[in-house]
Amino acid sequence: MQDTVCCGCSVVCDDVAVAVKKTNLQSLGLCRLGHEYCNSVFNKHRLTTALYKDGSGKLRPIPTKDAIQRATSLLQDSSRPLFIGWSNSTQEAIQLGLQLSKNKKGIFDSTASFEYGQILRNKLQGTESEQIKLDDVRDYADHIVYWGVNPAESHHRHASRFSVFPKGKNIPEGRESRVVSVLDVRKTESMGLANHQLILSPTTGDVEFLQALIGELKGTQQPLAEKVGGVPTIEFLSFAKQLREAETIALFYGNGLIHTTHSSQSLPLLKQLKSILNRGKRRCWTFPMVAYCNTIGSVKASLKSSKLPFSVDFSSNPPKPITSIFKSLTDGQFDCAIITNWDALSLLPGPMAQALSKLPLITFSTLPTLTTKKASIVFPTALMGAETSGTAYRMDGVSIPLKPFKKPPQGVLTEENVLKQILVAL
Amino acid sequence: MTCMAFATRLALRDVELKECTPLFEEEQYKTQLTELINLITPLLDTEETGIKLDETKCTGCGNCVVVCPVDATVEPDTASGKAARTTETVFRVEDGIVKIINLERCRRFPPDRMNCRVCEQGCYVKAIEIW
Repeated sequence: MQDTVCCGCSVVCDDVAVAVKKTNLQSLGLCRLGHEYCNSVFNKHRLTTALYKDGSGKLRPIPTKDAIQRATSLLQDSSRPLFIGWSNSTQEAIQLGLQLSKNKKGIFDSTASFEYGQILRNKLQGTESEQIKLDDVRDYADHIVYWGVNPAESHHRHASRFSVFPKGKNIPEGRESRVVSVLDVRKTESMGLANHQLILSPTTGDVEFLQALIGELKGTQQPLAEKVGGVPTIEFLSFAKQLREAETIALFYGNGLIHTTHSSQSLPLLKQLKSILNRGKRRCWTFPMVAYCNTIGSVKASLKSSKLPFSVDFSSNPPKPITSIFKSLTDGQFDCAIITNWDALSLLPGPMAQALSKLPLITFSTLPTLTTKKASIVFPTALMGAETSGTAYRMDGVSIPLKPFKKPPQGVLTEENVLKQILVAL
Repeated sequence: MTCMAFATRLALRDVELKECTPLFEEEQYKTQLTELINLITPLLDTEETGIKLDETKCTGCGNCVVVCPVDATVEPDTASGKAARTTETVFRVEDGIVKIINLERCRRFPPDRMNCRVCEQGCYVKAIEIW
């Protein structure tokens, strides 16, 4: 068994080990998601040669050297290229992507702009004063809140490694020393761990609940109805009481709170709640539960290079933010796109995916996807973390050096290597 | 032995149902016999500890590894959230799924048979059930 780091999700587990067998992988400590991710180095559908779309529209294998030449010439002919993806790329590859975007005066964007947008900007630019780590949550948080996120499905080891179960410096009994609350619009598996299982009404339940909670904590609450945002008032009051009594609250929030039609109301209310909970000796830390393993790294690299977290337009100096990647794409503002290890065409909203699919696409991927099917040039890449060294940033911004356990298949290069060659050729 | 004492010992697997001869010999207990058989059949699939692990449901989250008091004693890092890496623990996540690798160390194992259920309580997906 050799130590490795899992890049299957943003928890980036670095306490795991694997043994490489002839046709499969044995692992210790990896969750089901992580094991499947790492085991995909043996996936029989894996891309192992570079591909180029010929005149008839079919993808044909070509040597990587030729693919690099063709990609370079596509970029040379492009006056406004889009460089997008980057959350499943190493920090080193992202930096090269930024350099390439800068040299080509193109647009650099990552999945962060679709995931957590402004929230990550505030978190990483320091508008949120604390830079709290998950290790602090393990050691000090005596009230854990999951809001609009279901780690039992999305981040399997989050609760066991950092939030709910582990013992820490001020948490001598692990789970018994903490209160756990889960808020969602339906009963989730994560609620099985919770003292407070709060099911909000799916329309504006979170806004009503936040408003009432702020009022309750400030002591200005008007008389309550039978339910608050869909939650029975007695449960609401019990939750508020335990928040008031906590010493350190760690609140993890996800798409269920962010990607709603009324997030323009709920997010400022969340901020207000945090500031109320941060009074006196009580502390409240909030964490967006980003999904991809290096979303935070892409935002950090972009901030360092351009002072902007994502959606960076390098055609001006200093670089400007583009107002909306959605609009830019559907307005047909780009003439070429590089997509790195992200199945954009499957994941983006229809009109955006349609607009993107009409462009000449240069894609990097380990497996065939809808995006590689539509691409003009496909580079097969080494699997991040399993076959590449480099760095990834965990969801709390801790940098983790990767520990590859296998060499990529013959002829397959790392994303970093291909980007470097394109950069040199340009 | 009273019926209650027999029932307790039956649940602890110290005796087998067939040892209660009136149940099988007397017509009046026919319904009770059927009910008892239905009740104890799931127990036959469980380990000595009464733990039933459904690997198809397990997500490998490792909650059971971290909460198990035996694991915390034999590999202290597990109590602070680390994955079990030695061969000493009761639970260990292998290939993305938890395995019971030292059942005899479980606090529920005879002769101690403590009523410990922390692994069951910590399981998100009800992959661990204790009968």
